[in-house]
Amino acid sequence: VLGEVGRFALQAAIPMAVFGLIATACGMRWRHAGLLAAGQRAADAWAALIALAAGMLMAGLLTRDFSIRFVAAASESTQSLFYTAAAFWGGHDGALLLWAVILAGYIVAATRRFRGHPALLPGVTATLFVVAIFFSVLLSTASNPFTPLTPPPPDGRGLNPLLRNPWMAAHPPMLYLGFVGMSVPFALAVAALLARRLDDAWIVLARRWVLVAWTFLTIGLLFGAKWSYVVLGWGGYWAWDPVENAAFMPWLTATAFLHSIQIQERRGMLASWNVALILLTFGLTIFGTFLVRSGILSSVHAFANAPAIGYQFLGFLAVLLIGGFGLLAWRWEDLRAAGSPDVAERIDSVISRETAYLANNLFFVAGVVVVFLGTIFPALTEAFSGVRVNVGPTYFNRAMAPIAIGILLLMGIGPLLPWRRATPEQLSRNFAWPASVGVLAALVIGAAGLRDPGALLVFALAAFVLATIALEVWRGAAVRRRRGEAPPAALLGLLSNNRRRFGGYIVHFGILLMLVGIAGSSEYATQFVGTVRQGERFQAGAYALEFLGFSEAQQPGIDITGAVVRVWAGGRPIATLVPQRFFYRAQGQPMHQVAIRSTVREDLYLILSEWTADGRATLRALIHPLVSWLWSGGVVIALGVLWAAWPARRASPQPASDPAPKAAVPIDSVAGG
Amino acid sequence: MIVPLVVFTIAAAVAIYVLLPLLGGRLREADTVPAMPPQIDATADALRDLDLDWSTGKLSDADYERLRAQLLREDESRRRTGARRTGGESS
Repeated sequence: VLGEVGRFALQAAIPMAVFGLIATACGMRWRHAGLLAAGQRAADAWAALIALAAGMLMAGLLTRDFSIRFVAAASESTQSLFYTAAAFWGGHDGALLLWAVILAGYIVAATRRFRGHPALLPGVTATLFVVAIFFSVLLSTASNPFTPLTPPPPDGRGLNPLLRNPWMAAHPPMLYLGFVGMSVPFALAVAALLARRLDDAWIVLARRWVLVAWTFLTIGLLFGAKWSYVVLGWGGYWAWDPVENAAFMPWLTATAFLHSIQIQERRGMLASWNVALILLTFGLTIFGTFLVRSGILSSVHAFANAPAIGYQFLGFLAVLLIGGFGLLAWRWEDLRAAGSPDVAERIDSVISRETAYLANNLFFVAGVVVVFLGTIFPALTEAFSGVRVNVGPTYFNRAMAPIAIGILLLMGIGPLLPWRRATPEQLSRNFAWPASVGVLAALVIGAAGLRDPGALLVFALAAFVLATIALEVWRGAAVRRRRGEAPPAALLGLLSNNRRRFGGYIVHFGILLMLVGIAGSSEYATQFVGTVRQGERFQAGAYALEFLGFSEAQQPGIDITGAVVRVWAGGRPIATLVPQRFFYRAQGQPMHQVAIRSTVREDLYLILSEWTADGRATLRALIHPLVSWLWSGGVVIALGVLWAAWPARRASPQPASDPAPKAAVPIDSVAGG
Repeated sequence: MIVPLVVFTIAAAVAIYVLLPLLGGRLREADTVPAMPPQIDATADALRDLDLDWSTGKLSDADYERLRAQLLREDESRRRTGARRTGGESS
């Protein structure tokens, strides 16, 4: 019953999406309210059908209905309830259904959110229906998760053991919330192009959606990195794997968009560029899915090798890009005219915030080009020469390092520069203190013995950026203090009244933490290997590792062997770690469960590499400085976005100190409007 | 037997829900009146930001006045455009 109802729901979703698209398109063409309303209702109905299908699949998993092929492939009777539910996206077909479920949620949210914008709503709905049709067709045909299996096997094959980890259970939903979330700003851009509403109204609407999707994408990337760190047992968290890169590229373009829209909002420039960036961002999410699904590139993450499905994604990507960029070309002159009439598309001075944002965008786009070329290079070489040549992490690290440093530098410079132009006096006043802090940090860190030039530069720039953020907060709060506010009230008032700016600084602080964590852990990681008997110790940096013996345990379907290790530092025991090896009986697959002692300073990362029958254990200990900064950075970023996106009070802001110059019109005249 | 019944019920409910706007009412022109886009908040945000830059000494008085006047002018222009689209000018 579950499978049949699920199949019906997915099949019914196709005509529903097609009807919705036709009704909305005809409603737009003929300005017919009934058709537009029917299109809106079709969006709800499509979402309900997808939710019904998802409910059937989840019910199939939880009741272990092995007559559904997907359930038999992704679950087994001994699998825990948590991983049985997570198996929903543990296989190709279910993952696509998850994509559709999230799309359904976004469609319902977007059609409600944009009801107050009837000029854009039909275009948004129609565009989202195009995406919905593609996924409905895919789910009803080549990727149908309800394909029956007769006769049903007595037990399923079970979820891939590599995916049985909480970080991996949470990684796909987060990533898809980011990927699919980009469909809404994409639809807004298309709607603005269709409706010729090319002023900055659409970007004001799109900003929050991009911010939310960007945050999910960031969290998804970090969850994936954390999974790689704790499960794969190689001690790293990022390997420039094609699937990682596929998720990283839209993150880069979305970040560029979040910066460049400020130039359009403030100066009426870059209208076409912003449309192109958002088209590219959503295109890259589909490209990423193509990479994961097609199997054209080998990856530790790719769990499907289905070229036919991959090429369907490629075809869809072509439709999106040709359609989107075709529309952009069609409206090119309108977009040029959409800039403020009295603002020529020019930069007044090279030393201005506009220039900093432009440079920032160039760095992000350069990053996308570097990652894109490195990712597809193996496929290109195979296509042209028949030999697959991988470029490897060295290429990515070398090419991305100057880009990351450039972005870091601009993170400090940009906020301190005024719009239009900066005078030499402003430059010296704004940069003297942060630059001094950066130089001082470099000297102190260098004197402490850290000499690697790349890492030293990152740490010094991080100090510089931190000083610029501190300076911004200090100066802003000082203005309010001069008005008689107490320091805590001044600080809170400053942060609350300028949420977008200071939320952005919090995000920058999070990025700083991440970059420092990456620099520290990649440049100063050390590794030690020891083969020890019970009671023996070996030295791993400042730690002495004492092997206390093996532990054996069993869980349903899993045999677990662990090595109990007491960690000594400074002559006293500080922790007991138990790195383990899980052996999944049904799959015949072993898997590491590393043990990590994490502090602000460094991670001690312990792996049970092998053991012998005579009681010897070979342990690999890695010491990664500052890794916890990377994860903390993710939390700070999420808090920053929350702060920036939190709805502001509608109270009329007042100039922070002296009254505005005579020529200035009070802000109340706008805010109260 | 139960599956066809469930399927039929769902299909009928969905069809009625979706087609209802087309069944009862007369054909009428869509309400194409655009609501004011969220420019007011955006302009207020931009002005607030500008004020902060000016009060912390990052903007000269001349640039501050010019940028502020430009933002207000653009906001006014957008409001006029919005009013024309809504027919607000005649009301």
